[in-house]
Amino acid sequence: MSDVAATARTQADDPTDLDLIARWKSGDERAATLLVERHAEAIARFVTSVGAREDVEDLVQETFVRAFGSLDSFRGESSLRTWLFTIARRLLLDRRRSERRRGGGSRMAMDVKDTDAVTEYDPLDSVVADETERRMREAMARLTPTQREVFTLRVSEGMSYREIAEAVDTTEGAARVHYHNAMRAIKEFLDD
Amino acid sequence: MTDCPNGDIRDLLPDLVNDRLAPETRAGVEAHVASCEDCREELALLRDVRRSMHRVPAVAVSDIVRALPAYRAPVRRLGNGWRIAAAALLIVGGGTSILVARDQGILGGDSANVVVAPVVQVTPATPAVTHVAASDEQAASP
Repeated sequence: MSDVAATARTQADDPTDLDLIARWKSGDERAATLLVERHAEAIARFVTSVGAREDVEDLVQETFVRAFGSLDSFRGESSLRTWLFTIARRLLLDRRRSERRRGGGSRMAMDVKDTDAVTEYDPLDSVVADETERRMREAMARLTPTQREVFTLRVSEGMSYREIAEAVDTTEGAARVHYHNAMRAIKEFLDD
Repeated sequence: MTDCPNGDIRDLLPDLVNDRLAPETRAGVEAHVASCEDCREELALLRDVRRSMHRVPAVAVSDIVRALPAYRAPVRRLGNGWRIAAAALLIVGGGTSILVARDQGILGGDSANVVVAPVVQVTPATPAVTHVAASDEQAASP
């Protein structure tokens, strides 16, 4: 599924997200399947890249359950995907906080504050394919949580800084700075 | 690996990787990349990062769809504005009904029939001591 196709659907045989939401509200369950098919992979990529590990599928499912439970509050001011990223991110933060309260925290390395710069993070270690990918993940592990979120949404999903700012609750300018700082940190790591 | 001094072009490289540029912008960025080694290296790096990010376990769409809640249309509730308007309507309507009824004599609006409550004049009670003394005088007299 291409990202461009997911964000610019205008033809009758390729309904927009808002069309599908309206169809689901009127009882068309197939519309829900199309929406999940369209966005589930991107949500899985995001939660994986920012720290979720073996509970990726559970997080993706919970993201959709919450989203569909409150679709009436989605006004279409941002894209549905951006809204889903926002929900997924909040879920991750909530789980991280509750794990901390329980004294855990080993399953997810994502943190709330930027001050915890370097984490024990390697979300894709089960699917490491080659040396280049391993190095990329090590480089990503050096980033702060916010840098990782912004960099993932910018590079993996091709989102604009405005969309990223909405998804991670920051400003457009701050998102741009996070992206460039992340890029600098990755280059420095790879140059070492 | 060094940074290209052209920040505008560097800012667009992730859009180039994700095929999100308009044709004319894309042509401009590609022309710059062709002549800039720093941007070529950064572009290759972005492609490697994106490729690694896109290797994720498959998600079971059908499981997710089965877990979705059924749609429930929100229940419409009257807001405070409607409540205030309803109360105002009740007051105005009620007042108008009373005036109309009075004009038609239904409520005995004729001024001749108006019963005026009598004025009650309250005089102070005679002190008890005086009353006793008077009784004493009557008792003492033959």
